[in-house]
Amino acid sequence: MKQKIVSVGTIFLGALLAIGPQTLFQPCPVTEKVMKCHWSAQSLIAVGVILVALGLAQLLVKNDSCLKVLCFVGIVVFASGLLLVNLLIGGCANAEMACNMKTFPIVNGLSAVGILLQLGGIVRKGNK
Amino acid sequence: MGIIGKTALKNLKRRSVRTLCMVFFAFMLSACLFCCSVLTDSMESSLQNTTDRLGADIIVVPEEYEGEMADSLFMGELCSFDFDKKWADTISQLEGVDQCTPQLYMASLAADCCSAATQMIVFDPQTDFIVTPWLEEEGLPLPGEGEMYIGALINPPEPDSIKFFGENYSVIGRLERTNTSYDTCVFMTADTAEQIRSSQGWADAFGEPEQSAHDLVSSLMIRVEEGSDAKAIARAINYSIEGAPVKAYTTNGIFSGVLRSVESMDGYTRVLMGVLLVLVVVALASVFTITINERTVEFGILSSLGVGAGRLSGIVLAEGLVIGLLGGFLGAVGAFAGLELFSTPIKVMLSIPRLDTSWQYLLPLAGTCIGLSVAVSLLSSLYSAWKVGRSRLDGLLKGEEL
Repeated sequence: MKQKIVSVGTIFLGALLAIGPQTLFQPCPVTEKVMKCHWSAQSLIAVGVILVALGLAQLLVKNDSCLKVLCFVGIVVFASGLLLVNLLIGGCANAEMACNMKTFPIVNGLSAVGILLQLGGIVRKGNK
Repeated sequence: MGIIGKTALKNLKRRSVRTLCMVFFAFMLSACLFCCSVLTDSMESSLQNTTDRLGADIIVVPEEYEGEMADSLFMGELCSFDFDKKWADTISQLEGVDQCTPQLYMASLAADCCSAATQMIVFDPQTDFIVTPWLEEEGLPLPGEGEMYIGALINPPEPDSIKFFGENYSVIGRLERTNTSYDTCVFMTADTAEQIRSSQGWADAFGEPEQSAHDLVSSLMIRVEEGSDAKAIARAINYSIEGAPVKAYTTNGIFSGVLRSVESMDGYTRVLMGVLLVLVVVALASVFTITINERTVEFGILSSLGVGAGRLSGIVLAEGLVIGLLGGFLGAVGAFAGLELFSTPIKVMLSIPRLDTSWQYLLPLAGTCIGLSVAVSLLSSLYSAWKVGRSRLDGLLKGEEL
């Protein structure tokens, strides 16, 4: 049961990270000047796709130790998403821009939830 | 760990859902106290830092720009207004005024013409007592024509030059971080300001300037004579310049809106914490009472095996202690994580310039939050612990309600 929760949660969060910044919580609009936050949002598509694939693998795996390894990989991927939007690429300098007020806080929240979910998958009591 | 602690931990682990629900109450209390404290203390410290850094007792600005001035000083918002320098000469001669220095504020644009949207502060080195001592402290020379200092948080594309209105100017130094709006400003003299205002980029953006930068002032920073009452001097200045387009405000006066916000926020958080405290105590006490009543047979068996009344009470109190510790710790950590993850929208929506997240401040605060959670949890378990300790063995074994 817990394996299903972790895997479905990972798939859902991955899909949200990939699609959300393009639709529901978009960063600053693209004009003549393409802002950094646009590229941060684009990079999250890759992160989201990886997470969806990871979630599918977590759903199908039978071995508990394999699941724990996949959860550890999940933590790294979610952390990469955090690094991309906060450090490696980043966003606009103005705090009131849409990327800083909406997109990045939501992405940070989803990534934090994802990391906690993966930790739950690691510490769960599973079948050997 | 003694037998009491081990038994308490085993009891809590066995009923993990119930334990989680009780930990949640302690978590909410701790997280709430942590968040409220960080928000109100950050606002207060930002105000204090700004007032201390300002170094002026009285500020004279155009009356209609009082709010903009306060927002610029406190929040770092860009402002650009001015008045005729003749008023500066008049005011500096008035009784009670010890030092008087003019400053001119100009704002750049968030466009291709400029490296960044920045507040430009023009100061007069001959009369200045705000920026010049700061430079002297750091052993930095005064900026010449075409030169400027940048605040700690300004990051131009090139480290040694910054572009305003299509022209590049030399950056001769970066000032230390002050945690005030000055961190997002650039500082220059009137000669450099005149260069900027004479540039084609400025004319394209704002039209040809009608007056020279040397003849314009945005604000007068005044220090009153030792022992004088700043309020009284401000009133005297306003009386002397009645009819002028400017008005004198004490530092507290210009931040009166911010002060009211801080006091309101403080009041709201105290009420919220009071209500939450009562709710959590009542909720935890209720849950402890209900669960202990369900476990009377268990305590009866322990008692019949020779466990004394004191130890029985100790088990209940130990459970309360663990719940308080765990909930308090998770609450402090969770609140810190939440504040870090959502710091930008929180700062913008609550108009707080910066959140104080230094370890010297957060660690004692976390300790206070955990301490409060533990105290509340122990208090809530006190009645149940007392009842278990006083109950008769036959009553416990029969499962009678405590």
